[in-house]
Amino acid sequence: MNYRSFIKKIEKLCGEKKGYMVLFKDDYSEAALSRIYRVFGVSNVRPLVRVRRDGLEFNIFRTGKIIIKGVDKESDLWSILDDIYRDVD
Amino acid sequence: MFDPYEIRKDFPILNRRVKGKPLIYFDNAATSQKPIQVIEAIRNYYMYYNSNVHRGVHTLSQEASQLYEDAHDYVAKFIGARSFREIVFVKNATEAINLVAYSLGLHEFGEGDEVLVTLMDHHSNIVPWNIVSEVKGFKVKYVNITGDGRIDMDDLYSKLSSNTRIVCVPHVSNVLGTINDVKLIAKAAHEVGAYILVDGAQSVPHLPIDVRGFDIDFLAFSGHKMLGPMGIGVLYGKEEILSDMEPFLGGGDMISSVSARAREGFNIIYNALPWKFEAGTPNVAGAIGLMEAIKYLERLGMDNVRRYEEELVRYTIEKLGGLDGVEFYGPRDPSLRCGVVAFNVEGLGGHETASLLDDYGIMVRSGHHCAQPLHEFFRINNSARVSYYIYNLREEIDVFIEALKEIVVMTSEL
Repeated sequence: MNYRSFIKKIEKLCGEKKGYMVLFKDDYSEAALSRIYRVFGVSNVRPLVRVRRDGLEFNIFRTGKIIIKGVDKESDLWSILDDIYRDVD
Repeated sequence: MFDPYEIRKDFPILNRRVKGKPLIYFDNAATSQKPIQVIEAIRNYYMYYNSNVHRGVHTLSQEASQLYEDAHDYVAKFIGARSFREIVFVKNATEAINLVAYSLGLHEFGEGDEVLVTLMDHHSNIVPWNIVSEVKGFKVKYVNITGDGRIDMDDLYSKLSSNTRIVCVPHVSNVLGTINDVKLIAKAAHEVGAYILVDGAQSVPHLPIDVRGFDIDFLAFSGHKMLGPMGIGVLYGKEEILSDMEPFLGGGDMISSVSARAREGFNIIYNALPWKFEAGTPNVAGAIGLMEAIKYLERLGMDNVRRYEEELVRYTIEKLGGLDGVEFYGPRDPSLRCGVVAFNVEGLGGHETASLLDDYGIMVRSGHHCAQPLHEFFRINNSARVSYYIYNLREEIDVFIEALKEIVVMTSEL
């Protein structure tokens, strides 16, 4: 299964010049988030984990959502997600 | 008697749980919940009365037309208008403002004219004027606000001139909750010969309104923020002004006659008010739902609604004021504001705050709330916002404050 099918919705953030919200489907959010936690080397002990990397800010919510700041265009967002989920099929 | 516990029984949605927690709905400035009476009124319309209005002699059409016209009457009385002819049903407050911007601005304003809006206006009271100004060449000027979130009256007076054609203000800010003195502003506008348009989206649901007492020319508001359904809104306009205005949309029901013999002279005669501004099949069910919502609010009494919400906002401000790491915006005096409080947690954006509150079952809005000039003024990108209505409780505010305390601690450890 392509990781894109994990995603329920992406939305440009209102009031953030560069930012997107990625919302995962309930059934796949655990798989989606565990991958992100592993890639960033963080644990899910908190409701919100924040990681800064390459000028981007990832706010990872345990309930199945990420807010990514510093992303200007939707195509850039997909590149970032492609990178995180590179070998997930 | 105003009893929020009794009121809550009329709102089925408040029995919901979100993420395992009882729903706390603090997003009423975006849209209110609907009581069973409104839901039933709409259901009954579609089950027993559904028919198109104004163009039928049969029983159902007559009954639907009567209900639709009654709804105009109810709205007129609710806001203190002289008659139903001053009540135009539209889609929402945004459409009401666009109607004025196009019908008045496009036909009557031109180069050298000025339109005043304020920095605390919703985009819906800013953007239409800017669009029309691009066509007609008039200027849109912005009235400043004060640091504590009120309209800077000195700035307003300094910008008013004989060139000012209309002053557009929010009665209540959808971010700061500030209640503006529209009667005073109307007097100032009229002294220079300008109209005043009041965006009442955040005031009509929450305050007693008297358009004649305020002496305002236009009032725009939405039904869905005042217990009614989505898709129905109101433009109030003084009859003598509406009479002289050009229609906004053309089509059925807004004409009294149309002749195909165009070359022989004027071939369209417009209908009487308010139908001149209601082209096409209207939202009859929405109007009936709005009428039922108004009946509900009238039973509670708008003075009681106002008093109760002031208590809630007073309590919120007291509690928020004691929290380190939380900043809130707008007047500190609860008597100057409605039940809207925008805030930010240090180290978090509004969206992160709202996402975390969602885990507690607390629904709050985040973003710029369609008021970017206001956020620019406060040098912030966005905020989270709680907004109350008749069914909210002090106990819910306690849950919110405790959640916020945990979020502040958690954020300090990020």
